[in-house]
Amino acid sequence: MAALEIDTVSKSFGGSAVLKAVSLDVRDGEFLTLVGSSGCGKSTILRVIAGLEPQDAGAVRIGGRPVDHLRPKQRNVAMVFQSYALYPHMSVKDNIAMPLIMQRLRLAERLPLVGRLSPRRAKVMAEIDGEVGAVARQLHIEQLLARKPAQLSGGQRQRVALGRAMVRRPDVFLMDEPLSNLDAKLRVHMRTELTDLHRRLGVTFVYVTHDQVEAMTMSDRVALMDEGRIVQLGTPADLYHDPLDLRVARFIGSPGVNVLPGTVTGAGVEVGGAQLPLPVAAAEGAAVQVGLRPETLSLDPPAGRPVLKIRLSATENLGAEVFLHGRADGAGDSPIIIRAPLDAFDRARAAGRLDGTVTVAVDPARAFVFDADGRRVGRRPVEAAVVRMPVPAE
Amino acid sequence: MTAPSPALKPTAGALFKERLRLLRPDRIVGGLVAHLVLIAGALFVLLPFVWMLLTSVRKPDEVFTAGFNPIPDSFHGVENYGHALNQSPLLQFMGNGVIVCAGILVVQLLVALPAAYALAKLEFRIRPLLFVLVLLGLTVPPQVTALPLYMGLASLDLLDTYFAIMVPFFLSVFAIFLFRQFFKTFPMEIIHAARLDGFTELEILIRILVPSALPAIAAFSVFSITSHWNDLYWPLVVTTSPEHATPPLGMMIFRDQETGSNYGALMAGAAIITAPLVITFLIAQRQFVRGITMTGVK
Ligand SMILES: Nc1ncnc2c1ncn2[C@@H]1O[C@H](COP(=O)(O)OP(=O)(O)O)[C@@H](O)[C@H]1O
Ligand SMILES: [Mg+2]
Repeated sequence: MAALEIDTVSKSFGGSAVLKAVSLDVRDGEFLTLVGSSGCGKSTILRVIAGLEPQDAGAVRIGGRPVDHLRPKQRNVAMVFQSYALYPHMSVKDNIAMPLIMQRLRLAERLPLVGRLSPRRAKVMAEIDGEVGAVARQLHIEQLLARKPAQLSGGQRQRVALGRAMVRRPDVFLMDEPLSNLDAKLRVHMRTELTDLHRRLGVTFVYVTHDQVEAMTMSDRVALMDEGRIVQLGTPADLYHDPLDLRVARFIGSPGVNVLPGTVTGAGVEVGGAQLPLPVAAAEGAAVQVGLRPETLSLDPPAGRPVLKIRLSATENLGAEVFLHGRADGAGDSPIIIRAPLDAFDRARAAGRLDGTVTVAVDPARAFVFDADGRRVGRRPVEAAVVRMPVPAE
Repeated sequence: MTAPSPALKPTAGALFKERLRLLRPDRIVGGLVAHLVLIAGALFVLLPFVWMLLTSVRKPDEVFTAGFNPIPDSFHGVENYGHALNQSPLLQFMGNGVIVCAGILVVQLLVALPAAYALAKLEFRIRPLLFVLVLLGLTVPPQVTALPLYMGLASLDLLDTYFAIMVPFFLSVFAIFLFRQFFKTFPMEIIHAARLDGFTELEILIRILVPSALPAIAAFSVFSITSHWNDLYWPLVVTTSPEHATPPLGMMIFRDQETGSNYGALMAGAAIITAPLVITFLIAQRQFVRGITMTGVK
């Protein structure tokens, strides 16, 4: 168990900068997720932490000690790879045992025939067998120990990869998109299994994914990456309700945030005819982008709140809630999605308020205003406890 | 590698349709033509070999008479093969062949596998340069280096030894290139996993890459054994005595000294020394074909 510090780490491959002065503190025992679109440098960070790829600049510390001079096996980190990276010609048992064999047997003892001459080899191997068996039982793969990786399903391979990582009791667990090769149903199941595993082991986890749902549901904290930089680090609720950058607002949440063009006025921000009384740190008349989460647009009568007029084009009834698709009149004709609970939808329909257009009420306190570069201006901190976190849709 | 998902499995109806399609007249004619061409090609390639086998069981006087009668009038095989085996140290030549081929192959693999691993998966500054040199090495014909090598061996007093026959081939650029191409395709993540687990680089090569590369190694072994078993040029240059002669050189010595124009016995000898190659290839055939297709060579 150990905290992990990444201190202004940079890395480029042949002239193209992949990591640009990335800093990140992971607390001891924390489940931290790095999320971002493909190619933003997530795997590269993991490889730098593990020592598989030397960084060009910056430092990595594990448990307060610099590890930059240590080789991968000396850093006591374990990694689960996206492709699982099992040794193809070894049985499941050997796959899981390998880290321990490499750790506890000396080089000469690992040689095919000469190794058997060592008196302590048999004893060490018996110990290792016991530990491999224990890990296999925890992961429910005891019956697979004799098989080769090619004879396993995707889910089973994943468990073997987890077992190989667990067996050495690492200080830090690195996981590179471990669920991305599983089918949808197993993926949802494994999310809870991995968080359970994290709780049981109590070890620091750095988890990489491009799937914001995984990031939101599994993590203590999330770091959103884009083009080799960490854009925002915070709890899932922070990233959802208080994004500091348009990229964060867009990446987190499904269906995605609505973004409408607006203008800074003396009293706040004007968007599609609605006046949002928001304190904004920008000059009057400046063009801004206003982010509105689909569930913050209300179909109920506005009761004095600012409103947007929306031309509807499609409705998707998901049972408990309804997605209404349309375009915002007067706000650059931007596409917009409203996420309404079924009862609100039914009330609106019964009251005849859904006749091809609809008027929705905007909650200014929950609107995000970004400047032309996508930086948040006019930030109103939201108490995470006050705002309910909606469960992200698949 | 993975089993097809149930949705992709053809239904019985689809299978039946597929069979019907194969039975259409144009398909049958097409198939026949293709096979005829292949058979003709195979006959053309195999003819000298078959002729060698036929001649090896003919009487000496029958070898040159009666045009091209493929079937021998009388079976003279026992005499010819007996003659070949008794009148020349054929078995010794073959023993020499085994020693030379095995020695060459072992050193080639010991050199080429680590070199290929380094060229494929290790990061170091002069790697591109080294790989270019390997590629250049592929273009140098063995005759070019023959003279300096011969003079070197002569000055070291090593002529007419097994070592002299083997040494020019210890370093096979072709093997380095072949294995490098194969290792290039090996997933980097598995190598990373091994480094994290504490494998040394040599252990990664031996315990992980070599087992995966067995088909490529088998393919290369067939190439290597065949060409050095059959090589006449270099053994002729450095060997003068029958003691170290490899099979083709032995055959030559044998023809000069003993048989003169007993072509039946000569062909029997040729058949005997070719047999190990044919058997090796038959054993390694499946691996060989897989190795060739896997490495993308040809
Ligand atoms: N070994 C490498 N050599 C050259 N480029 C690389 C290497 N590894 C990664 N890259 C490049 O770095 C970028 C980030 O890669 P990666 O960290 O794998 O992204 P992610 O895991 O977020 O999808 C990509 O553009 C990729 O092409
Ligand atoms: Mg990646």
